Order: sequence, then structure tokens, then C-alpha cells
Amino acid sequence: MSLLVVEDLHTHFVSRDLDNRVRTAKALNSVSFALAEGEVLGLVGETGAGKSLTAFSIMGLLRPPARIVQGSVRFAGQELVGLAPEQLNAVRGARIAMVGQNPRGALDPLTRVGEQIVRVILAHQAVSREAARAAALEAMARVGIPDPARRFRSWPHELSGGMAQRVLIAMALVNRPTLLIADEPTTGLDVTVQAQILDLLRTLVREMNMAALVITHDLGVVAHYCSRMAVMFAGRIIEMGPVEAVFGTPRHPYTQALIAATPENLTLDGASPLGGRPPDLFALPPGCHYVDRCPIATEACNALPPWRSVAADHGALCHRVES
Amino acid sequence: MSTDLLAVTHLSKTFRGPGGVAIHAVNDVSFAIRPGEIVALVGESGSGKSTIGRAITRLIRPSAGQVVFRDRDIAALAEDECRPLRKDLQIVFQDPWGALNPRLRVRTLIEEPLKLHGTADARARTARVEALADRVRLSRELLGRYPNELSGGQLQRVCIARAIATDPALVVLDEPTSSLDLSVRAGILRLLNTLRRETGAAMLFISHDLGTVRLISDRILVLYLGGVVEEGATRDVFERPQHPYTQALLSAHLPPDPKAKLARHLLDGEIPSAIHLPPGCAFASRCPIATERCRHERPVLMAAGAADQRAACLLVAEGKNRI
Amino acid sequence: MTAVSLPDIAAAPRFSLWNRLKGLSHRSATAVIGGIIVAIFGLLSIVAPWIVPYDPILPFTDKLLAPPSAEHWFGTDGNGMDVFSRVIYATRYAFGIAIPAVLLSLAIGVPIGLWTGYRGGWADEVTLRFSDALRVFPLIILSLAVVAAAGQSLINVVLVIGILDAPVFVRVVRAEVLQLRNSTFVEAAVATGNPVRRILFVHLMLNATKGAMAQVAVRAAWAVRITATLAFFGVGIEVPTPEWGSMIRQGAEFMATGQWWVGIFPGIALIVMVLGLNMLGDGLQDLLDPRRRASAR
Repeated sequence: MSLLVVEDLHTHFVSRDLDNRVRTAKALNSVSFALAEGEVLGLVGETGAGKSLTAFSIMGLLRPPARIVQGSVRFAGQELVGLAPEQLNAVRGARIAMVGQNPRGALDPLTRVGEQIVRVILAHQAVSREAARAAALEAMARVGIPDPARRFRSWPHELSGGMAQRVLIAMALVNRPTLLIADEPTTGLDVTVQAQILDLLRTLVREMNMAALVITHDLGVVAHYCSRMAVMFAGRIIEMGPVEAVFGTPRHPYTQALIAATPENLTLDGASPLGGRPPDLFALPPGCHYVDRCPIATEACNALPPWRSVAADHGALCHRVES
Repeated sequence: MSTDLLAVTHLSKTFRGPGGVAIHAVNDVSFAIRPGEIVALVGESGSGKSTIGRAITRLIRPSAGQVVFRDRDIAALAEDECRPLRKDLQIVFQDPWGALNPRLRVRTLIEEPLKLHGTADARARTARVEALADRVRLSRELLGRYPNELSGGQLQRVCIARAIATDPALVVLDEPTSSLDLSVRAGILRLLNTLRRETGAAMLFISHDLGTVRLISDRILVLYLGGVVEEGATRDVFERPQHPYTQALLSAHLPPDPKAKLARHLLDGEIPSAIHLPPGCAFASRCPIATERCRHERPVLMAAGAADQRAACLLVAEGKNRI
Repeated sequence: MTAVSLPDIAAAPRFSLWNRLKGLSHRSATAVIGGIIVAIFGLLSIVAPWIVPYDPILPFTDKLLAPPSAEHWFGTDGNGMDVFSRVIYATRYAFGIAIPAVLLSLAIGVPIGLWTGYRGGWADEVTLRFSDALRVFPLIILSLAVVAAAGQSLINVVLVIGILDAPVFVRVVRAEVLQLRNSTFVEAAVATGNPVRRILFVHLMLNATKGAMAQVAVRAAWAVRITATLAFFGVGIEVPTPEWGSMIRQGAEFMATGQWWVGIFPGIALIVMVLGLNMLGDGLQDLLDPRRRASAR
């Protein structure tokens, strides 16, 4: 039974330009995936591929001009698209929690960090202040904050980036969510701190039997911390499968190019650089979005590619992949 | 006359922080760059790597020490005296979106150093700008555009074209690919590699990304808290890291391959504050094998591992530097 | 599965002035309305000689203080001059003083703002203190005193307004330079080998004058107001010249005796003009500063 089912999700940015023309940026185009309980899915892609927007769409955190124009997000059987804000609030922060990038920016600079955790507890649980305080301290200890009683009274600006991220993780977990969305959780952090935070997240996800959606542009993070991965390009998931399978035999030409472009796999004397601009979201090609950059594109690629499965749980959105 | 293009000796930089506290960003750093060599400066945030890059290009004035470029100490020069030297000493910044004046056309931006450093003939300059665009694989059509019409990768090519316009002997690259997407990054790295061959310019490549550094540099300097903890040929340092910090840093790196074995040496905590420098080894507070002596005695670089490889660790002498 | 329906989106229309105005008013209706008002006044000032029914300084000695009529739409004043013609003609003086005065303020304020913002240190300190000191005086009193002392002439009015208002531009430009001077492109300009002069007048000036541009209309409104105030007090512009301030002054005398038209019409024109300029200025600030726009919503 899937905990989260995202189906045919379309999120567009609709705005007017200086000449009063309506412009639509098709940022997400038919995103579908499912996440089982206890599973860790990595969502990878480059800037503008729609990774974070997928998370925001699931969480109902879109602000105009962005809006979901079509599709469905079912969490534990409940439809989240079109839900009233109050009902959504009962879900997010409690049963779905999110850890974002820029941890310091996510904390209220004028409130002591312990108090912020207490507020998150009180917002979703009918417990006394004392109980909430105890739970907050326990959560702080659990995410490896040394001397929680003292840190409880710290101000956000007194925390380092890694420590602030730990506080946010504590805040995300105090209400025992069943789904954790981690949006670039270690992007601004140093390598050695990144290792600490990722290991912590993995431990907590396993202990609390949560499902996690890890959004990242770092293929190394996906390779070592996720069980399954979905590769996004121009608002579509173009390949999805178990991490070993995708890294072992990537099917989509874009996935192949992406893996080949990592410094570990790159050869400096290689032929033409595979760069090129990401497609214009205001004017996406009707067929495969990767057609302009694809080395093996054919005439057929101007039509919408089908999802081709190569194994039970591994497939790619590409005409050239043989089922 | 020495064979070194650039010789940095006992370089220190102290900033005045809020309330007049002294922030010791760089502490007694010495190294040299030979003509045509790519030296990498690796470290996490707060390690002082960008400060060193700016001190070498005299964007900031060092607090102490010498920066001898072509047998002339530029640390002591006034800004007016530096200006002619900038022809031979260029820098490329991390953020290509911010490094270009948004109100000037690409053509003007690339032409500027030529104008400032002596190419009087306008026609010769135009020809040179077009040749530079070709050299950095930037379409000539883009020369008439403004920076906001270009992608990040194209902007970084403009920055590189501007930096090599006057055939400098040394180009400092301050995290030139960190803010770029993977596929764009690959193109820039290949370009830098080609330029190194074609122009013979030496490069100081500042980065926190170990994969990139391993790919492009000949020699590597590892920084921690404003000091060099290890230096050596890139291959030697990656294969046989000597300093405990280098060992931990390399082990925290996540290769994009789920099958790669991780030998993880997790470090506790984060880089200490540069306001109160520890009396002994800067790394002692996080080092898993630090002894009492490490906390009191400051280590200096000494031969360790391969030829030309040196590490600043007291335990090297006893051969107990493995973590 | 649920589908949230997307409202029908019309095919993109082609560029036209009308569409541009609609698009702009979507972002700042204030700017568009203010701009239209100012444009109408501007047009009037250009075509004034051809549209006014009478010479604005031609006295109809037989028709002193005639009330509004078909012949004299706004009536005549104490000298028998046609109020309508004078109100329209006065736009020429309003623009004729405001435009050069603001240009003068810019010419003084922008370079000083660039230099002090970039250099910092004592130069910045001194300029800031000086402009603060200037702010402490009510500018109206100061300009009254200076014009009175320097001699009554149009040029003096322009000079005084232009100089006294320059600190406004010093401050906005300086504030922008302070934000920009540590930005990477300025650092890159230094690294490329730009002399300070070129950094100031090429790199910074192109990027640090947005706030000043947004201030131009607001400061023009101020100049129009000050001109009228000076004239109201009998300083600067002499009586037969068609100018709103002096007309209001004359009208004020007749208000008590019931000849309201002498003062009301120039008063309304002054208010609408100042309002239009202020709306334009306010709207421009919204358009040019996205942060302000976001917080206004």
C-alpha cells in the first residue's frame, strides 16, 4: 500500500507580462510517482527541473502565480489537492514534515529555538506546555544537539548551519510524521557536516519507519542514501527505478549524460560538452523535452514519448528505450 | 630569479568583525605556483580559501606576509601601482550572475580589459573579442546581449573570456563551477582544461568540491581554519592522504556510484570560530586521534607520504597519523 | 482523480500601447494614472499658445473680476486677465522650473552620492552630516530666505530649488552604492583594472541610479509646490507672470469678497499636478523596487 501517490500532477506559473499578455510556464508536466511506507525516494535533476516545486505542490505551499492546474496527490488515501487550508494544516507539519535548504532562514530569528519546537508540538498535539517542553528537549537530544537544555534557550543566529539544520530536523520529527520531505537538506553545508546530517536523517527515518522524499541535485547523496530514484527534466520524471539499476544501466539519454557529467566519471578530453540550455518552460516542445540536446533523437521524438518499463520497477520516458 | 610565478610567504589576513573583534581568516600560509600549473586550494567554508584568492589578486590587502608575483611583492603595492599588474593576474568568481555588470553588453564586458590594458585600436579589439568568444565556445550572436539574457554556463564563459583577454600569466578561479549545474559544469571544466593547454596560463583553482579538484588540478593544498594542513601532488593526496583532516574530508565525499564502498570517518562538530584560534593544532578539537600534545603545540608542514607531499600534523613524525 | 480547471486563457494579443498600459496598470495603477495626469499637463504646456482663448497677460480693463461665463470660462482676475488662459499657461512655468531644477539636483546629487557611497570614510561622514544639517531647516523657509537674498529671478528660483534638493539624490544614490559596492561585479571591475573614476561613472552609475530615477517625479512635485509657495509669498515670480502660486495669492484676497474663481482654479490645477507627479513617483518606486511592490500587496 502506497503512502503517497502523486498522479499526473501539473503545476504551472500563470502570470501577465508588461504587455498584459498571459504567460504560462509549464513547470511540472504530468508528474506521477508513488512512495511506499518506509521507502526513501530520491528526486534528482538540475536547476528548474521541478524538484522543489514537486515538494511544494505536495505540501500545498504554492503561492501565486504558481498553481496546480491538474492532477492528484493522495496521502494515506486522502486527496490533498483542493483541500482547505485548515485541513491541510492538520496534515502538514504533523503527518508530513519538511526539511528545507537554508536552515537558518527557516527559523524565526526572534524566537528561541526551543520555543519554536514547542510551538510546533502545541500546534498539532493536545499536550501541556511542560510535556511539549520535555518532548522538545528529547527531540533535540535525539538529533544530536549537544547540551539540549542550554541550546533550548539559544537564538537562531547563535547556531551554525549544521546545528540549525539539526534544530529543523528535530522540529520536523516531533509530531512523528509518516512522511519526511527533505528538500536539498545539505546543500549549503560543508562536506563533513553534510555527512553528519545525512547519517542522522537515515538513522531517524529507519528508527521511526518513515517514508522520505529526498530532493537533491547531488547524485552522490542519491546513490548512497536512497533506495529508489526519480530523475526529473523540464517538469517531467524521465526515469525512475532502484538506485543500483539506474546508476548501473541508466536508460534515458539524459540520465546517462547526467551520470557521465559527474566529476568522477568525466573525462576532460571528451568530445563536445553536453551543455546546452534547459528548455524554455514557456515554450516546451510538444514531444520529448530533451529532444534538442539528445544525441540519439529521431523523428519519432517529436511526439510525446511513452513510459517504457525495462523491469518491474525501472522505466524511462523515452521512445528509444526498448521495453 | 626564481622559477616560481607566484610565491606566497607567511600570508595572514585578519578582518575586523563586529565590535572590533579580530577574525583570523588566513594564518601564515606559504605556497608557490609555477608557470602553467593548476594548483587547487581545497577547504570547507571558513577555511580562508577565498580570502587567499582575493589577497593574491590584491582585492584585499594582506595583514602580513608577501605575495611575490613575477619577483615583485604585490602585497605592499598601492592600488594604483597594482592596476598595470592586473593584466597578468586575473580572477573568475563563483557567481557568474553577480560578477557581470547587468547594464553592459557581453561585448563591452569582454572588451573592457583590452581597453584598460592598452589595445588602442578599436577594430583590433573587436576582432579580439570575437576570437575570445570562439575560444570559450560562446556563440558570437550572444555578444550583443545583456547578461540577464544568458544562462549560467554562458555567463561563466563570458567571465572566463574576460579573464583571459589580456593573456594573463595566472588566473585565480574562485569556485568557478560550484553554482553551475552538473551538465554545464562539465563543459566549463573541459574548457578550462583546453585553455590551460592553449594559453599556458597557471591557475589557482579554489573549490570545496573534491571530485572537481581531483579531475583538474596538478597539485593540491588542503586548508583548515585559515592554514594549510596538507599539500602535494593531487594524485598522491587523494590516494594517500596524510593529515587526519584530509582523510576525513575524502571519506565524507560521496561518489555517484551506489556500489562504491564508503570508508567513513565521521567528524564531530564543525569548523571552530576564527576569532579564538586554538593554541595548538587547529584541527585538534575535531580530530579523532588528537593527543594532549596536539592541543598545545602548533604543527608545521613536514614531509609525509610521497615526495613533495607534506602535512601539518604532529603525529606524522611518529607514523600515527592514520585515522 | 481530481482536476482543477484552468480558466480559459485568451490567445496572446500583439503589442500595442493600450496593452502595455493595461499591463503596466496591472502592476501599478498609480503609476499609470499619475503618468496620464502628468502627460496631459505636459501636453497642455506645449500646446498652450494655440489653445488658450486669450493672451494670459492681456488685461480686460472693462471686465475686472468677471465671474465664469461662456467668454471667460474661469472668469477674470483683479487685473481683468483671463483666469483660464493663465491657468493653462502656468503649466509652462511649472515644468519650466521643475525640470531644470530636478536636473540640477541630479547633476549635483548623483556624483556626490556615488563617490561618498563608494569611498566611505570621512568624505561620506562629512556629506552625510551636511545633508542632515540641511534637512533640519524647513526647506521652505530656507529657500524663501535665499531667493529673497539672491534676488528675484526665475534663474535664482531654479538654482535654489536645485541645490537645496540635491541631498535627496545624494542619499538615495549613496544608499544604493552602499549595497552595490561589495557586490561581485564591482569587485570584478577592480580586478579587471578599472580606475576608480570608471568604476563610479560606468559600473556604479548604471546600476545605482534606479532609486534616483524613481525619485525624480516626486522631487518634481516638490519643486512645483515650492515654486508656488515662493510665489504665494511674493518671492521669485513677479505678478503678471501666469503662475499658480501668485494667482492663488491674488485669489486668496478676493475669496473673502466672494470672487472665488480667481483662486480656486489655479489651486485645483496645482493640486492635480502635484498629485499626478506624486502618484507617478510613487508608482515608479513600486515598479522599480520589487521588494516594495511585494510588501505593498
